[in-house]
Amino acid sequence: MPDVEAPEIELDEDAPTFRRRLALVVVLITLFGAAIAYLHEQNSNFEDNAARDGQMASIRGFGQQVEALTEYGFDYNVFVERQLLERRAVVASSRQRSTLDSSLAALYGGESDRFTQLRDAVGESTPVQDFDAAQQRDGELQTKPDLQRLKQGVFANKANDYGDKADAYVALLTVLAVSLFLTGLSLTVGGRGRYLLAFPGVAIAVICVGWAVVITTGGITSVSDQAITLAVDGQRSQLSGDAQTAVDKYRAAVKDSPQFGTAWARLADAEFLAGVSDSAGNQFQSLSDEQATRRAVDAGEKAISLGEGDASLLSSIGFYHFTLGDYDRAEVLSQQALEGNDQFPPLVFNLGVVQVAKGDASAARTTYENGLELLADKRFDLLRQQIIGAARTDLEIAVDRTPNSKDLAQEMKGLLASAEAPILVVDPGPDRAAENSSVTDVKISTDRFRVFASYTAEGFDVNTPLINVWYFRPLDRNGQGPFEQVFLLDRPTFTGNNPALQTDPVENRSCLPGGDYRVEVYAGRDLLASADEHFTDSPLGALVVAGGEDVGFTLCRPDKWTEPDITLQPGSLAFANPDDSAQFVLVFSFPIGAGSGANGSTLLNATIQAAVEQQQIKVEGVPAAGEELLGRTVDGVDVTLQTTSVTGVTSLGDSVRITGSVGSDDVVRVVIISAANPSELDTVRSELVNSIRFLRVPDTVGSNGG
Amino acid sequence: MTDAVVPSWEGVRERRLARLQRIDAKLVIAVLIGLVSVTGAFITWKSSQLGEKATDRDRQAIAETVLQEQSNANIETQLRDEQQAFVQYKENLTNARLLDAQADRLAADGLTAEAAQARDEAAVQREVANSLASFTLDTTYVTFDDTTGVPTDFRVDQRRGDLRSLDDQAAKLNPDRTAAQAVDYRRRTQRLEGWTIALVLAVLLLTIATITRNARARPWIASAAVVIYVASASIALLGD
Repeated sequence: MPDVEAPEIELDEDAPTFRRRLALVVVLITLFGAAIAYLHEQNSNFEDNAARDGQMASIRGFGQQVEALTEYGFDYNVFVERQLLERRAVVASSRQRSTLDSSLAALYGGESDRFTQLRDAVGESTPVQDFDAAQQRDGELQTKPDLQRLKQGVFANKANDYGDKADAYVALLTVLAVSLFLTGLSLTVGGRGRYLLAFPGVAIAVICVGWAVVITTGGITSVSDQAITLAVDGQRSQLSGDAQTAVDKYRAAVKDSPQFGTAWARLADAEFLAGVSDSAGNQFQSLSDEQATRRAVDAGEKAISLGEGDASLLSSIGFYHFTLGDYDRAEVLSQQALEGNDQFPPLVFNLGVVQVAKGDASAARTTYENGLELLADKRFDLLRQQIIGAARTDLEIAVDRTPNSKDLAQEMKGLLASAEAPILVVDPGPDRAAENSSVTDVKISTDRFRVFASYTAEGFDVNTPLINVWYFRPLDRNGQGPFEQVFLLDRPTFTGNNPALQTDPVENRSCLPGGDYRVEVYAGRDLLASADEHFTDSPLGALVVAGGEDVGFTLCRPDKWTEPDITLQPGSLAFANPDDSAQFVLVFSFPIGAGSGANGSTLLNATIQAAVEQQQIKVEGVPAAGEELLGRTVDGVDVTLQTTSVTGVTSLGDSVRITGSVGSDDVVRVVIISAANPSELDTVRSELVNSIRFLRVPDTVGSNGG
Repeated sequence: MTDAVVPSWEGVRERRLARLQRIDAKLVIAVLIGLVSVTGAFITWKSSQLGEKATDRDRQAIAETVLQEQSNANIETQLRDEQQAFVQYKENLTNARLLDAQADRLAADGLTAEAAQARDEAAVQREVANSLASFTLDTTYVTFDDTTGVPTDFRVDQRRGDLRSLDDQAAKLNPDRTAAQAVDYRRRTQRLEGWTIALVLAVLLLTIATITRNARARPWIASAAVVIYVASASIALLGD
């Protein structure tokens, strides 16, 4: 009997049970998938809604911007008309006072009244009554468009968040499909091998459940309407120059809605601005208080962490890091900013100055050259000098924080000087100084609240332009820290046969603040010499500007001096020292009426005589001719005015000086000052009379009462 | 030898219950699963249709917003132009009144030539004001002082309202309403999608009914699934 080998039969006893369970698992995974699909659909819907609302807010913001501009244009035009009528009233009133003909005086008086009433009638059509109100009005009108801009940002963030969630659900569904595939595939395999497919499939499904919980519980940017309103208010405060109130508003906004990235970004900007003591007149601010800068960095980093990432913000926060000496973070952010926008020179220079501070000469040269190449574009014509000024201040900061970077910083300043020259002169001359040329004996001086430099320039061809670059550091810095570059003071000088040169006297703002002044003299990109000088504040105390176009002159008056309780004619200003009744200044000007019946000189003398009699002044000596007053033409050119001055003593024993001038424009300009004694009178004269600028004087000064 | 007698059921009537019991329950459940799946597909298709409508409304809302803002910008520009003209109109007429008064004073002072000149100038100012009004201003919106006859106010809000009502095309637009429609369509798609979960739950129960070893429980589980299916499909489709 042959051996019969029993066939090997693989018993698969648990197959039915396995299939039964697996069927259940598959349906459970499908149920889970249906729930995920529902959540995906929900988030996609929210994304679509938010995206649409964002677009609508964007369009509305643009429309409201147009409306705001139109309304502001109307308000400002009416304000201008009102000012013109006021000026007519002032002129008529002045003519009334100056004419010797009573009937003409009546005519001028009637005109003055008429223009005053017309001014009031026109002025009531606009809330703008002065320049501050104009700025405030602009800020108010910007609130509606700003509200829409912020809403657009919030909707965009929401759309992004919902979109991210929806995308995550799609990814989850894809993984879940893999789970189902493995589970289904296990049905086609017999024996224990099927568990190798089924278990991973189930495990993936379980992981997906956990993943879904994470996605679903993930937050969506939540910003309340209240927070948006606060941010709008903050922007309005910032536009009107009140950075501290803006900071308070933004802080309230981010406290209300901590995920409000735009408010954090604005807070960073406002914090930095709140610490700025603007002394350079540059819209690109570089120097702020250290604590304010740290707060700005914190707020800015928070904004970045919330997804705010426009190039301007990144570059600003990078710059704040730079000013605090954190060069690595500054470089990273500046690089990121340039990835977003590499066509705006300030962003390029922000990276360049970090490279200077880090001593990376090669990179810094490349960056600055790129920046200057961009800066040469026509669209930066109006900003070019400001950008160069800010870049110089940044380099001052780099040298202050890292003294080793001085030589490299100077090299970059040379490039900037070379770029500034074409702005100041038609033919900027050679890019390098002539061999054996020199500038020596540089000295900084002041003249009537203006600063100028004098020096000896030798070895240059005739008519070679030299660029004088000015820096300033205010008194409150106590001689510490970096200078700020004041681009408004920069002027050229031209070499001639005489080696002694002097720059044009220029104002560092109206009242020449005390502090450290520095001038650097460049020929092309070569620094030839520099000098520093320290000036103190006025002995009369802090000075502030008074007057303006409406009265026809400006002057610097001590902050604590007040307007006396007297009625002044239009076009006049008077201030008195409340602590010393003898100290007083009165400035007025008026055009000579056609019917005055006298020439300018006669009328000026009559005016001075009237003042002498009115004040019962005992005149000392003879009237002195001179050039004691300064005027400014409509083109902004300073011209000295020929003057006649009388000094005397009042019945109370106070010293008085009356200085008058009449120009070819037939306008009489008079300044009266008084003090307790001649010495104090000299101080008042030096500090106040020298600060007066009569506006719109003629280019050439004509005969005057001398 | 005769053939064996073969028993026959012919003529025997099967009871209805027995006939029903003879139907393979699993087959019925499979059919039900198919039916639920088809219903789910239909609901998904309907949801997709509503989603498309929502997208259309989104685009329409944006287009309406553009038109509305264009209209607003036009109206505001026209309004400010008219307001500017009003200020000039007011200035001219006020000036005319003041010149007349000045002329009276000058005449009283014996300056007859100057008085005549002032009156002439007043007449010119009035003429200029009237010409200006005819070109640029609708004086029905101007408020005049009852005693002096001088314009005092331009009723901006009323003029704006009228300009808006005159703009037929823009007056018909309501982007917020259109956006609300889009939101409503999306809410409906969301609702439909939600009911598909219930359908899958029905499939789950039907699957359990298929695989269960407890034959007694099978019809009950399947019945529960059918109830869920019918209820959810009805609410989803009829309740929309």
